[in-house]
Amino acid sequence: MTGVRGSTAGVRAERLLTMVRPLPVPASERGLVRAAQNGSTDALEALFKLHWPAAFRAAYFIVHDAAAAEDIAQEAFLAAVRALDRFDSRRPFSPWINRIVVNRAIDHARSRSLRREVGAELADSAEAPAPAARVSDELMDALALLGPEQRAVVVLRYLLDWTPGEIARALSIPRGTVNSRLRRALDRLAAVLEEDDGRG
Amino acid sequence: MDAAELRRALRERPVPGEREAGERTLRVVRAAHTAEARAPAVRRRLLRPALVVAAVLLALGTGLSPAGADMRRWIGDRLDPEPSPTLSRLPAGGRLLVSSPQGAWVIHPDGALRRLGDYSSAGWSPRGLFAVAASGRRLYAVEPDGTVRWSIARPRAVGHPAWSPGLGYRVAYLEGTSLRVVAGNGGGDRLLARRVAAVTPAWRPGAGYVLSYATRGGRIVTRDSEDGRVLWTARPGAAPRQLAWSARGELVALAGDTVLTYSRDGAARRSLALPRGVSASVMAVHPSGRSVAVAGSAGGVIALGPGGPARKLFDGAGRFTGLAWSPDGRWLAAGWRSAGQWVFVRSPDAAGARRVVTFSRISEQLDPRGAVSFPRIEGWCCG
Repeated sequence: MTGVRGSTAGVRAERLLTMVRPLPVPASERGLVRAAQNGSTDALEALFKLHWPAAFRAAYFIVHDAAAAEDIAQEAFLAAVRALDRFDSRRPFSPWINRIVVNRAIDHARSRSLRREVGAELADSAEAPAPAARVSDELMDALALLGPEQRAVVVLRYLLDWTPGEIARALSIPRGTVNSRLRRALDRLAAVLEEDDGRG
Repeated sequence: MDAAELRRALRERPVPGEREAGERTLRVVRAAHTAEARAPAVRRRLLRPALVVAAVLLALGTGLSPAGADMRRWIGDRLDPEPSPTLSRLPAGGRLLVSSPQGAWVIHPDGALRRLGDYSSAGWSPRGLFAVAASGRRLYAVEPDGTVRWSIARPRAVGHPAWSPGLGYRVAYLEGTSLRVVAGNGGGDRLLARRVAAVTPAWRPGAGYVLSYATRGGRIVTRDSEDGRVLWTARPGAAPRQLAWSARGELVALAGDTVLTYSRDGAARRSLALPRGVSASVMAVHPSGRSVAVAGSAGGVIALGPGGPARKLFDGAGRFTGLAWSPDGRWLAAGWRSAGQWVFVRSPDAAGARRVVTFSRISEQLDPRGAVSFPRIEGWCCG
C-alpha cells in the first residue's frame, strides 16, 4: 500500500481532512443547539450564557470600545439566531459565533481608523469611552498599539485558544500570515511592556 | 509577559459593562429567537427560497422608480425586542427631559429619575443647565434637580416654551394664542405676536434672536424677536405641526404629510413626502441637520433625508408621541404611547450594527401608583 503520509500530497490531504473534520462537540452543547433549533428559549439562553463572555471579550479586545463590542457581539448572536435552523448541530457553536464576531470587529476597527483620518477630533469626541469605563493598564495600552488584524490573531489565539490553522480559516488568510502576525504582535507587545517597565 | 500571562489577562481582566451588555443582549436575542420560532423550521426552509424569489421580483419590478427604492428599504427591517421592565442605563450619554400632564422628569444616563415638579410642558436650555417649564399660568426656569431659579405669572395659561440656542438669553413661550419672549434671567417679558398656533416656536441658531412660529392661519412667520421685524413668511400646503431649525441653518417644518425645508431667508428648498401609510405628528431633526425622523399614529418611525428614500427606523403599531435624538446623534428616542414603551433606535448612519433598546411600563416607573399618563419626550440634552 502506498502511503501518502509525509508526501506533499499527503500533507495537503491531511490538512484538507482537518479543515472538514468537525471538532468534537460536547454532547450537552449539541443537545442545546438541537433544542434551540426546536424552539427552546431555555436552550438558547444556555447557549448564550456559554458563549457570550468570550464573544463580547473578543470584540472588546479588538475594537477597544465597550459599546461597539456590545453591538458587534449582539449582532453576531442575532445573525446566529436567524441562521440557527440551518446550523449543523454536530459542529461546535463557538467557532461559528466567534468567527462572525471577530470579522465584524476587524471591520469595525478598520472603518473607525479610516474615519479618524478624515476627522480625528470628531471621531475622538464621539467615541471616547467614559473615564470610568476605561481599561488603562499596560497590556491594554500595548494591545491598542497593534493593528486590528494583529489584535484579532492575538485574541483568537490566546483568548479563544484557536490553532493557527483555525485562525487562518476564520480570517481567510494563509497560515503563514497568521504565524507572522502572531510573532510580530507578540514581539511588539513585549517591546512595549519592557519599555514601560524601563520607565519604572 | 509569557503566553500564560497573556491568556490570563485576556480572560480575567474586567471589561467595563460586560454583565449589563450581556443582559441587554440576551433580551434582544430571546425576542428574536421567539419570533423565529413562531414559524416552524420546515415551513421556513420551504418559504425562504420563495421569499428570495419574491424579493428579487419585487426589487426588479420596483427598481426603476424612486418609489421602488423606497419599497426596498421597507423590506425586512423589523425587530421587536422584548422590552426591559426597568428603565436602566440610557443607550447614549445626556439626559432626557419628559413631561406629562402630571409633571416633568429628568432621566439621567444611569436611568435615575428626577421629578422636576408639576409642569405640563418643558424644554432644555442650550447646555442643559436649566429647563424651562410651564404649569398653568406660570412659566418657570428650573435647575435639573428641581430648584426653581425664577418664574413669571401671566393672566392666561402658558405653554410650548423654547429656550434660545447659543448663549441662551431668551425664552419664547405661548400664552393662550399669543407669542411672548422673556430674557433668560426672567426679566423683560414682552409680547411678540398674536394669533399664533399651538406649535412650539423655533429659534434660529447663530447670531441674534430670530424666531419662527406658526400662525393660526397656517403660515410660518420668521421674525427678529428684538425689534419685531418680520424677516419672511411662508405658507405650506397644510398647517404646520412642528417647526425646528437645523444645525445647517434650515427651517424644517412638519406640515400635513410633508416635511418642508426653508433656507435662512425663507426660500423653499425641499419638500419630502411621507411614505404612503405613514401619519406623522412629531419630528426630530438630526443634530447634523442631514435627516429628520418623523412618527405619528401609523407607520412606525421613519427617517427622511434630502438625497435618499425614506428609511424605517422602527416598525411598531399604534401611536408615537415624542422623538428626540441623542446629543451625539447616534440614537433616537421615541415614545411609543400605544405600547407604553420608550424605544431607542440606533441611527442607521452610526457605526456598528443596528440596535433597538426598549423600556416598558414607563408610566408606572415614573409613578408606581399608576397616576401618570404616558410622558412625552421633550428633549435629550448635553452629554
